[in-house]
Amino acid sequence: VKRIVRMIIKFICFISLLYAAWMPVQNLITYKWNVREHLYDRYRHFEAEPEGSIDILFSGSSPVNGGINPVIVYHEIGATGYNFGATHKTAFCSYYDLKYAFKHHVPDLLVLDLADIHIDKAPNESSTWETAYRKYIENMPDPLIRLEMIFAYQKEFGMNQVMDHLFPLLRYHARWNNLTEDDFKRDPFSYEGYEDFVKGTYMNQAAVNLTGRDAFTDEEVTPASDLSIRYYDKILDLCKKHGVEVMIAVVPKLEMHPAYMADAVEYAKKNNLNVLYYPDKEAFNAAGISEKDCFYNVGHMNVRGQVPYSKAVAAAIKEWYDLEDHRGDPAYAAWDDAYEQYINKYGVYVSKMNEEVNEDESDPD
Amino acid sequence: MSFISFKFIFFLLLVVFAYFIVPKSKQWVCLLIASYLFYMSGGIQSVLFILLTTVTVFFAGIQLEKQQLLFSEKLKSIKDAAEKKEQKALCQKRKRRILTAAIAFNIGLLVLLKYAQSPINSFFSSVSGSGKDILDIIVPLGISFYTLQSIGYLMELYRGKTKAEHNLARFALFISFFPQIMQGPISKYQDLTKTLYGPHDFDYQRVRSGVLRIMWGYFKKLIIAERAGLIFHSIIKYYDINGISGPIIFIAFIVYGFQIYSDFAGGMDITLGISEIFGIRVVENFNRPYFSRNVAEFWQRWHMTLGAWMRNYVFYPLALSKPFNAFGKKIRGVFGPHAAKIIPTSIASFIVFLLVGIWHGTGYKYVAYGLYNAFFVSTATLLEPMYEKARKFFRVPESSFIWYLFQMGRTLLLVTIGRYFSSSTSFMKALRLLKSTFFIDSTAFAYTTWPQVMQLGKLDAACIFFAVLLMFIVDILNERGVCVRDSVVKKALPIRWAVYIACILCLAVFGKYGAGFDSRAFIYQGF
Repeated sequence: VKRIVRMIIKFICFISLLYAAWMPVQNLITYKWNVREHLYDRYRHFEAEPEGSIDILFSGSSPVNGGINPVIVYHEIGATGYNFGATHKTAFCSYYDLKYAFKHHVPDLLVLDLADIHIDKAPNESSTWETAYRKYIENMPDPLIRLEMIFAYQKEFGMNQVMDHLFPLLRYHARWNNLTEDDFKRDPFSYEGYEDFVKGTYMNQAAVNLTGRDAFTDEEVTPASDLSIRYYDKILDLCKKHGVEVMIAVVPKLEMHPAYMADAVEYAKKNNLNVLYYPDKEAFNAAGISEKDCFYNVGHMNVRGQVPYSKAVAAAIKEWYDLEDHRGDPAYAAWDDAYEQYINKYGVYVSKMNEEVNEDESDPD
Repeated sequence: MSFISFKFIFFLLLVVFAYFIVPKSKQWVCLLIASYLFYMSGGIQSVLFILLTTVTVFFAGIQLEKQQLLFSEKLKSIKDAAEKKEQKALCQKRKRRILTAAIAFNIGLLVLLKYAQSPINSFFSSVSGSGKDILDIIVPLGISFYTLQSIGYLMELYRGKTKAEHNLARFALFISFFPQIMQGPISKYQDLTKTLYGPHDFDYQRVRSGVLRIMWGYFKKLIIAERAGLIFHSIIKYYDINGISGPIIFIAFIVYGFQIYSDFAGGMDITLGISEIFGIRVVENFNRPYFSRNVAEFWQRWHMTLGAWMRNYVFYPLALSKPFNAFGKKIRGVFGPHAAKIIPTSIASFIVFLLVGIWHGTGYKYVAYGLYNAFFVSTATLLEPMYEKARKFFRVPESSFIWYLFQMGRTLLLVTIGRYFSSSTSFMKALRLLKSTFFIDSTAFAYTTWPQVMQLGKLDAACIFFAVLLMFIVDILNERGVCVRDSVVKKALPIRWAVYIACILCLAVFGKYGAGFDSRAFIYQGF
C-alpha cells in the first residue's frame, strides 16, 4: 500500500510539473487572429469589477465591441456596463459567454446585437471559422462552461476534436515555426493599462472616409440562420431565468444590408423586445454618425463613432428601462474616474477626428 | 484504429488499466478482448477472415499433433525397423497432407484478398462488359503478418519443435495480439507464448521502460517519418507536374529511406513498448539496418522476422530439397565444388527475395523490387573477391573505419536504388525516375528551387536534421551496446523528469499530427 501511495504521489507530482511546463508553451503557440483581442484578460477584468456593480451588458459581435462605450453610457445615464462584444462572436459563442458572465455579475439589462444572425458557418468550413469558434472556447476562464461548450461544439458541428480542445497546443503546435517577435510580447491590455480597450470596448482610433457608401442600397439577402436563431432563443431563456431584460441594438454598419436589419427587427418584435435601429441612412446620420469619420472600416465604428452611438443607446435605455442612476454615488466614484481617464486619453482625439480623417477609402483592416 | 491517434492512446490506457486489475489468470482474456476490439475498429468484415485463419490453423495444429501422437503410440508396439520406417513415412504423409491443406487454404485466402481481387474484377468486367466489380472485399488488416505467423506455427508443429495449443481462445490471442498485428513482428509460437499468457505483475520499472520506448517510437514516426514523407511526396509531385531531373530525385529517395527507416523502426518501438508494458516479450524486428556492410546483412537487420521466416520455411526447405541437391551435384560435376556451393544457394535466395518482393504487394514493381534485392544478395558472395582485391589495391585495412564506411555507403546506395521500385506507383514510373536521376535535363530545373520543391522552411529543415542526427546518435550508441533508455532511468529524479517532460513537449510541438494534417499510416501497415 505504501508503495502504491508513493507511486500515486509521484504520478500526481509529475503530471503537475508537466502541466506547468505545458501551459506556457500552449499560451505561446496558440491560435492566430488578425487582431489581438486579449479575450481572456477582458474576461478577467470583467470578473474583477465589484460585485453587483454592472447594470448593463453589451453583447454581440465586433460592431458592438467598437460601437458602444459603457463609460459614455454611464456618463449619460449613470448606469454602469461592460462590453462583451468581440469579433465573429456568433450566437453560439454569445450564449456561453453570457452563461459565464451571469455567474459573476447578473446585470439588469442585456443589450444584444444580432450582427451574426445570418452566420451559420460550421467550424470545419474554413480555418477562419474554426479559429473564430475556438478563440471563445479556449479563452473561456470557467472550466465547466468551457467543457460544456466543447461538447456542445462537437455535437452542433459534428466534430470529433475533444482532445485538442482540452489541450489546444495539440491543434496549433505546428505554429511553432512561424512564431514572431510579437508572439512573445506581453499582453498590453493586462500590463500597460487601457491601451486598446475601455470596459471591454475596442478603442480603434483609425478613421476611413466612407462617404458615398450607402449600405442601404445593398440588395444581398441571406436567410437568418436556424442555428443562430436557436441560440438567440437560448440567450433569451437564459436572461429570463436570471431576470435580465433584453434590448436589441442593430449597430450601424456600412455593410449593413437590409436583410440583416429586417431579420434583427423581426426577431425583436417577435419576442416583444425593444429594438434600436436606423431604418435608413438619414436616420443614422441624424443621430450624429457620419460615414466621413465615424468608421475604421465598413463594418465597425471607431472612437469617434462610438460617442454619438453610445449616447443614442443611453437615451434609448433611459426611455425604455428604469435603471438606477449612480452618478454622484461615492460607491461608483471609480466610474467617474474612468470617464475622466477616457476624456483625458481620447477626448482631444475624438474632437479632432473631423479634421484628421484619413481620405483613403480603403479598408485598413 | 491507428497507433497515431488519441483514440488509440485512450484505448491503450484502458487496456493497461484493465490488464493489471483483472485476476492474473484472466490477463490473457483481457488481451484477447482488447485485440478483437482493436481489430474490429478496422471493420467487422475483417474479423471473419482472421477467425477463419484462426480456426483452420487451430484445428490443423491439433490434427498434426494427433497424427504425431498416434504414430508415437504405434511405435511402442512395433519392434520391426522396416515397419517403423513405414509407419513413420505414413505419419509424415498424413501430416504433410494436413499441413498442405491448411497452408493452401490460408495462402489461398491471402492471395484472393490481397492479390487476386483486382485481376478477377478486371477479367469479369471485361467479359461481362458491366464495369462492375464482382469482388469488393477490404483487405483485412495485417493479413500478410498473421497468415505468415499462422503458417510458421504449423511448420513448427510439423517439425515437432512445439506443441499444439488446445485452447482456441488462447490460440486466437496468439494470432491477433493487437500491438503486433498491423506490422509485425512475425513471431514464432514458442517464442511469443512464453510470456503471452501471463501472469504478469505491475512492474513500475518495466512499464516505465515500455512507455519510454513507445515515446521514442512516436518521436521517429511523428517528427522524422511524417516530415520526411512530406518532403518525398512533394518532390515526386513536383516531378509529376514539372518533370524535374537530376540529383534531387536521388535525394528524394534518400529522404524516403529516412522516412521508411524511422517509420518502421518507430512502429516497432511502439509495438515492443506496448508489449513490454504488459510484460510480454516480443522478438525484435529491426536492428539498425543502415549499419549493414552489404545487402544480405541489411536484410538480416531489416524486418528480421520476415527474413527469419523466409529462411526457415522457404530457403532451407528449398536449398535442402532433393531437386536442389541433385542440381548441386550436377553443377559440381560441370563447374566444380565452389560453384556447386554457391549456385543452388543463390537460386534459393533468388526465389526467397522474389517472394519477399511479392509479399509486399501486387504489381510488377514489387516483382522488380524482389528480383533487384535477390540479385545483390545472391551475387554478394560472388562479387566479394572483387571488392577484396580493390581493398588490397588501395591498401585499406579490413578493420578500418573507412572500409566500414565504404561498405555502409555502398549498401545504402544499393538499397536506395531498390526503393525506386518499392515506393513508386508503378514499375514504369520507377524506371522513368531512375532515368531522370541519371540523365539530367539541364533546362528543367535550377538548384535554387530545391527548397521550393521540398516545401521545407528553414526551421522545419533544421528540425528534421537534428531529429535524424539524434536518431543516428542513439543508434550508434545502441550499436556499441549503450542503452540510452537505461542511462536515462539511472539519472537522478529531477534530471529524469526533466528529460521526460522535454520529450513529451517535443513530441507535442514538433510532431506532425492533428487537425490540418493527415498522418500517414505506417508504411508496413500497407503490406
